[in-house]
Amino acid sequence: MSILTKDYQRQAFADGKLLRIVNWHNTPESQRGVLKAELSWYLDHYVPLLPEDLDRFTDTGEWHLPKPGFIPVFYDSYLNNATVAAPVCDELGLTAWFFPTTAILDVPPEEQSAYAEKHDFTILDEERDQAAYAMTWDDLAVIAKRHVIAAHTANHAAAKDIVTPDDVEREITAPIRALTELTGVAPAAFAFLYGTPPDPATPAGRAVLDSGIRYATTNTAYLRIKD
Amino acid sequence: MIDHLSDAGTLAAPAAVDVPAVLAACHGRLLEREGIAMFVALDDARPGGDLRVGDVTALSDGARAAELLDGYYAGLEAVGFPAQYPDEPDETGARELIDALVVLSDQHLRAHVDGEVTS
Repeated sequence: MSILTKDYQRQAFADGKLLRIVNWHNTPESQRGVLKAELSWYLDHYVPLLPEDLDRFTDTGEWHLPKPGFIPVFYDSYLNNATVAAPVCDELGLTAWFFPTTAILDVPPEEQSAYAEKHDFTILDEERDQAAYAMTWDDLAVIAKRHVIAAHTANHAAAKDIVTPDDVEREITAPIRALTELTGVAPAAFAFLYGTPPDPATPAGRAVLDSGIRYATTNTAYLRIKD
Repeated sequence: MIDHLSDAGTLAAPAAVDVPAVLAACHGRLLEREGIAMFVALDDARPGGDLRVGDVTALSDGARAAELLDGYYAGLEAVGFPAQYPDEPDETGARELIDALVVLSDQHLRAHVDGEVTS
């Protein structure tokens, strides 16, 4: 049964295979207070999950936490994830998951606006006057000291657009390698643009499944794909 | 309307009645700069993997989520699953399911701060 069906989703939930996540993209300074209030609310109700918690659950079928878990997730390498989201999480003592797209980490600030137009990277009107819109590798290294780092392709690529061996190397293999070198561990998870599940019949899906990464992140599921 | 504020944003909250209105409100939000709460499945897709959940709370929460998903999916199906951007292709392959999950998650997971109450 395809995981993209209502029947699969319903059965997974009914079988107790339920996960709470909250996805953020831009986290501008103007929303710092809201973000902190929301994360505090989540902390009152749920406990942040680490990859090891998911491992234990998928191995045993049992959680071992005092409250249900949730995963706060920040996508796409926005500078405001480094200047607002990560500091707020640190202030709250909360470990989040960051899914950076890696190519923009190397794009000079003066070229980031043009890059953003081509790669579904949203520049908020309130940040148009900034010198840069994306974080740097140095920013990500700081975030990685306290948070979980996952992979999200190099250029915010959709699975359907990753076809050739060069595509696979550029969008899957190289980002995973770079993040592994930065953090010292393999990224905990991998997500394509649009949250497409990894299809083993496609070069992109096969590459993710063979990458050694433990979780495939999709729009509707977190899938354990490796021990 | 959620009567018990302490239940707002949890699976204990009563099911929303006007499902299309909840989806429309979600579509109206600036999701690029807000947290998007989502209930998703957590499953074992390793070759030969077969996750059997024994956790009592997970089973209870999952049963409630499944029941709510049924209702929200049916509520959207009844009005033809209105699309936010009907002229754009569905890149996800599961727009209807995702919209039902969006409603479920908006009503039973999204943070409710400053005494906010949803309808």
